[in-house]
Amino acid sequence: MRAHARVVAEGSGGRSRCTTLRSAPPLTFRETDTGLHLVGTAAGPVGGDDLTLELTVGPGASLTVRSVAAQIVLPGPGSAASSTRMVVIVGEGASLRWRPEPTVVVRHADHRLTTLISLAPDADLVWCDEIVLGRTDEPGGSLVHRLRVERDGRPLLCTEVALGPAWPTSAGPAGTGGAHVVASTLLVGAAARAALARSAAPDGPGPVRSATLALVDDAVLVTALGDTLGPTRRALALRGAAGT
Amino acid sequence: MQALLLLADGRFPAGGHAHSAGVEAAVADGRVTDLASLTAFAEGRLRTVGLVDAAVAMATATRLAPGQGWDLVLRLLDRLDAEVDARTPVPALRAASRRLGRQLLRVAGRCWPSPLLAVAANRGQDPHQAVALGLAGVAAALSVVDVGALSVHHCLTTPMQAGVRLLGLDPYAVVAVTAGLAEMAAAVVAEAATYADGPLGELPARSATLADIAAVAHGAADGRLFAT
Amino acid sequence: MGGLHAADPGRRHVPPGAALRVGIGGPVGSGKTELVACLCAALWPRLSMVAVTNDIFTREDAAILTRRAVLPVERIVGVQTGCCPHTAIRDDISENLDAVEALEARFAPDLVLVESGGDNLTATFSKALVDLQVFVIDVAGGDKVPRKGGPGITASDLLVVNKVDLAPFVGADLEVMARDAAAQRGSRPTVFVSLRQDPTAAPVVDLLLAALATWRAPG
Repeated sequence: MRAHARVVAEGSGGRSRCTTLRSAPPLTFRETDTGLHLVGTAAGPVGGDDLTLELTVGPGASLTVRSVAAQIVLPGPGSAASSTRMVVIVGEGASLRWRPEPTVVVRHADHRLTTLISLAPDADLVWCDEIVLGRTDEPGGSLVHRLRVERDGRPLLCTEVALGPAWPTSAGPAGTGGAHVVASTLLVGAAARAALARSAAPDGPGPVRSATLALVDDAVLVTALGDTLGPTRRALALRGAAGT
Repeated sequence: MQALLLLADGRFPAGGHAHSAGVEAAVADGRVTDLASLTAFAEGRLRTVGLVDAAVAMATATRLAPGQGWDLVLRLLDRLDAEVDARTPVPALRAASRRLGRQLLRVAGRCWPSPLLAVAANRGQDPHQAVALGLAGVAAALSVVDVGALSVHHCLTTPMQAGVRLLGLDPYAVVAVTAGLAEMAAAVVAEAATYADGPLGELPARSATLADIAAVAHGAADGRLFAT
Repeated sequence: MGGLHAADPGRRHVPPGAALRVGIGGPVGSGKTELVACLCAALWPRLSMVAVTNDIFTREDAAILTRRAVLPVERIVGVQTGCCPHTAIRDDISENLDAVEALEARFAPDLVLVESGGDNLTATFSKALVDLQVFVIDVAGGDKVPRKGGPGITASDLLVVNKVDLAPFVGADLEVMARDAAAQRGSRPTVFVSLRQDPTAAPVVDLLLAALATWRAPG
């Protein structure tokens, strides 16, 4: 199934609204007082799906996107792969907070996620990504997430994380070390400076590993690996990557 | 041929011996304890950092040639370095990469002096190691594939050598394993080559989350023996 | 001190006003670090100095140096050698050279000290990294050490035999050591000190100051 959703938020600050809101299941949106919500996502993506989401936050506008439930990535017939492509634009003086519930990659799923984010020079961003490999007590499927962020036309971050059985060595000592939860938050702007100003607890061997990676003085990637979601999220929160 | 062999030689004085490619951090947190885990570590690195560095080095070597206009060279180097920066979120690893890039430029400039290397050295910013390798390859008249092979060779031998030093592993067993990874190494070079001509934004970006996290901890660790 | 051979082909090209770079090598525990501390205490701030150490340099070491106030901590840099102390001062000096050049650019010192990692008798410094080599052994290492030779003993510009106060306790014959050292070293100087009893390290300081004067002399 191919689906193409579009969201455009315009306006300024607290008075932003979505002037375009074209859902395309499973990418279904609902706008509420507290922001934009992805709803009904438990149905996919499923193997064989190719999904596209275009998300634009106009100059001066502010948008927060959450979801009501975890996104469950499912295998499709004949172990077909699925893909999601997100093209995100955040305009001058605009702010985007992308804080969906985690993505659970179910056994035998094979998903490719590509996210391309273009930021204006003074745009603010909070981009959260939580991946859970497998449902409880089950091994997980495979996911590769390529995230490319450009600011003012120059590359800011470009990473590709490959997880699961389709990617040999990905769970090894140079990969995730067997972690079930891989979470990261990219902060650009004021939230990044705040995260850098914190002196978070240093990382060490343990059930959760985490770090604050300074890309430049106002962009930070906070990452954490763990066995379960709760402690992994707490590690991110301690580093200033939650509640923003 | 001689240039290729010199650049491949572990004794080539380009500063590499002070780096463990993350092995010291992996030994410190228990991920690498023996030859099997060291091998798994080296393989994982080959498929992530190894692929990225080889592609960057080959993209550099593909685009640069002796006699190009300096404007173009400087813009290309700037763009290539920016792409590597974006793929290296750990500050200590960015700094180490540029330090190694400077060190490689220094010795390459002595071996294969060329205006290209002089321009790169006086640019006012040290190039990333993979970019410097591409530059050195052009100065030494190596093929693009040779540059990729060099990059992968060092990506593989650095952690294996560090394992010998840190864990006292049997050097014969280690080098035998290294030799046995020839096919995987060749596959990484071949895959990297497919990106050499394409848009720089589409260069591989495969990263290893735990390696990045561990690199931050290692950089702050007291009394470490290796720089990275 | 006969240590400066201007015509030496391996010697680095020296710009005018450049600092004198002195390498300090020798076996583990012989007193290299102690010698560095004594030299800093004796010569700083009369001379502008910086130090690069290849010995594992922990935060604790930095704290000790700060407490003893021998040299401001920003003038001391620790360099990792990747378990290869020989390589780092001799075969591939990249990291050390970078550290030295960065300190020289920042502080324009008169004197640069480079301390090698603890090592055996075969380690020497590259002439591209340092201008003078000081090799430190101690009597507790045995009085036959000078006779064994090795490039540290024979070719260093200054041989320092430390811990002479321990000689009676370890059965070391200082005369034998002096004679053997002279036989190995010809006209190159050897001094016998106890840095613990006399931290001024006067014989070493005198020779270094003389070398510095020659270094700065025109022509």
